[in-house]
Amino acid sequence: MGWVKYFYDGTSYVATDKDIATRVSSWRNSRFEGLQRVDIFHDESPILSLSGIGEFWQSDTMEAPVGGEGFHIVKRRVQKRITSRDIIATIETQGDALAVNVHYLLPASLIRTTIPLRARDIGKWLTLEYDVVSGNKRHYLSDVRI
Amino acid sequence: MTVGILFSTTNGGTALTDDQDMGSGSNGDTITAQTIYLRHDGANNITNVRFYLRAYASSYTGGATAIDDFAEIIGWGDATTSSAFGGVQFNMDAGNSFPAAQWPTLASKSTTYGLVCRTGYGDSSANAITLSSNTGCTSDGTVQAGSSPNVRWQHRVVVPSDEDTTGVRLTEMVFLYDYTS
Repeated sequence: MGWVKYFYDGTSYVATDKDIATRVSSWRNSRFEGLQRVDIFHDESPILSLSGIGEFWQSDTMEAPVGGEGFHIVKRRVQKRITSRDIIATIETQGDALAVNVHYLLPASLIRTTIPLRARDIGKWLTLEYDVVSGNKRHYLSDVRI
Repeated sequence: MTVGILFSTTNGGTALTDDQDMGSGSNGDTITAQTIYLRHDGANNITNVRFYLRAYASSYTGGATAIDDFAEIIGWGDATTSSAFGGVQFNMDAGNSFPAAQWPTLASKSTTYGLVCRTGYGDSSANAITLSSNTGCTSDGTVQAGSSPNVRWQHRVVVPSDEDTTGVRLTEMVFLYDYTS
């Protein structure tokens, strides 16, 4: 379906796949200042959610057979660049969504599932990815913005 | 869909929407290469553009099964003898008009800008082949926006000289690419 940017001032920016295809909406040309969270939707349900402070990026992987009919999104993805202020990331389950919150302060509550962010991870991209075909969600650190 | 990719036989030409006949040949034939052009309808570059072959997924009309055809085609590329070697081959050196030296051979199955699809090379999405900048794209794997970017490659089929079964073989060439709006 698309993605939503959420900002610290309480506003949001919604982009559906249709809006993107018709160039009504754009990740690159929409607001970045104050961006604190990005939700990725597939089939109108949130499937990935990434929160934190800093630089975010979003991309989709598509598949197209030569001479075939139609093009399919096979992966949806959101990334956040790890900075020196990011200490830890927590993985949460929100319905079917893989939700990750990147903390710059240690949270007070007991954290059950964490991703430690080390000095060597600074500059890398914490990546949440949804495989449309398999339905699997995963997180990983990428050297590059995809 | 966010961004569509289009294929044609001329730069910016009518989009292909059906199976492409790569030709017919007898044992040992190198079927005439075809030039295919690629473009997309996104406002920005598409990146990480790569391709691979897979078993034909539409309504199969060949002489065996889609899976058997795919295995056979990959096997032609895997062959270690000249009589058994062949397969679906690619030449991405459009900048030099697809020179003969860039077509793969038994001795050199991957050239600088060419290859034959075989096990581990273009036989799955995990082994997809990055589109070379010599096809006319901006850089390896990155295709610029525009209606006629002049990005193209050639592909052909080489029939092994010891092939003993006639009939139609079907396979699919699939592109994967990333896009940020």
